[in-house]
Amino acid sequence: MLKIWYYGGVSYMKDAPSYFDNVYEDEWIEDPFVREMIQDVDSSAVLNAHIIESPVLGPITPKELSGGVKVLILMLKDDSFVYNLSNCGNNCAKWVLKIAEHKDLTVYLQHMIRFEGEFDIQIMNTGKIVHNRKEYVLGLIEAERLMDER
Amino acid sequence: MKGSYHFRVKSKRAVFDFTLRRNITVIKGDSATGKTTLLHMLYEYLRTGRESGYSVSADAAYYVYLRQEVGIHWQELLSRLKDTVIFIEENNEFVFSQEFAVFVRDSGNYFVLVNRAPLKMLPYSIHEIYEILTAGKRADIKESYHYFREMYSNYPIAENNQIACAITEDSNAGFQFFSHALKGSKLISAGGNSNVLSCLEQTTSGDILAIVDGAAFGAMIESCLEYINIQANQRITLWMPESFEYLILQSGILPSKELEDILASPWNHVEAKEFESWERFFTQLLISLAKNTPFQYSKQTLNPSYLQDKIVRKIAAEFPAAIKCRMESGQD
Repeated sequence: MLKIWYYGGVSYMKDAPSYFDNVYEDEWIEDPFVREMIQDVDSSAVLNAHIIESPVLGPITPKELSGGVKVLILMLKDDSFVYNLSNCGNNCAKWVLKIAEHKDLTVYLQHMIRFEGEFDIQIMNTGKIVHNRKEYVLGLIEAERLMDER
Repeated sequence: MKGSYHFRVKSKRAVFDFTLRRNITVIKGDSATGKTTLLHMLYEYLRTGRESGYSVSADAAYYVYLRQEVGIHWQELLSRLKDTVIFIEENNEFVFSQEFAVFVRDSGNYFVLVNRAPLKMLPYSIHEIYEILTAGKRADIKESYHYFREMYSNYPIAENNQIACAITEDSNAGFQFFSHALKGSKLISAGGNSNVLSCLEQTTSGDILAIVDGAAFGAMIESCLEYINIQANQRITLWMPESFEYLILQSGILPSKELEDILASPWNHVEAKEFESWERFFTQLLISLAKNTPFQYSKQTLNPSYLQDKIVRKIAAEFPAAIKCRMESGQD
């Protein structure tokens, strides 16, 4: 399940894209699930673990992937830290839910990333589990108010 | 620092083209749109000029803050800069601090902040929140072309809003004006832009019009719009003119050539060091233009001259159609 700390309550990785550059492994990039995320979010094709073809930048290395996709890969592959989901745009939202289908994924969030459809997300600040966009938005507003009162 | 500044940032593969018009600009949006690439290109050109392989044409001096240098506090670095456009990359937590807000207010520089999270300490405009888009690649142009698009300015006015209730951010002059103009609607003062969302939540029935100062509503816009979008049983319209004072200035009740020039290009007149947002500039301008006229203006108590029918009609002339329509039916 996806577990979100909104605006506080948890220590989180402050600069995950830089961390990714120092720790990523070749096999992460070659993972079919990761290839699919890179294709969808960055519109880029993984040619091999070292070269990715970007339509804008040409051939790039994993270090030139977008910050959003780097954070998605870390969420999938490296459980050492809680990551900041606000490094990711709305085009990453469905992938976060997919990653959280296979494991409990705890993230930090500072903005209202848009999840579509039905899902199970726990807002950790209040403990509530939300299942759709309406419950999610109201859940985040409640969590933010709670944090502001502290 | 004041004015508009055009940037064209170019590599062999990509061109970024944009213009900045206010002291605070925010870039957010989807992942992989080129935010980090843009800042990287600006940084490399700043470091080595043409030897970077990039070209930057800009009307202003600029600086790029990517991440904290070892042993150097951000303020030490940035406080050296005057009349400079300062780009700050995502993941620099200090942009959320009160210290940074004070620094922005006092420095007089322009700031471009890459950040999806609301910057609650900063009074930034809904008009200066951008996403980067890529134009379709043309066969005759080798580079992809990237430009900024405002994310919120074109938020639609809901049709057929019956305005059972109007919420104003303002508690004084603006509230007094709209209480008069929207007779028949229940008027609620939020007492500040950070309370608008709570007021929306507490008003659980009937159509709502919320009137906020767009010039400083940037940090609140996302949560308000997300809340409005999930309300299936209520029509809620968020109307975001620059400010109440801007509406008065725009109405023509204080005609002057100087005002016309200012309204045509406010960015050429709003000195960042003096005014942290356009809202404050327009308030000051209205006070000064209305001095010694029948329309003397105070933000605390609205001069009754502004409540004369013909003046209300003039101020309302540029209101969105749905609101004008409600005003007319309230007079019946």
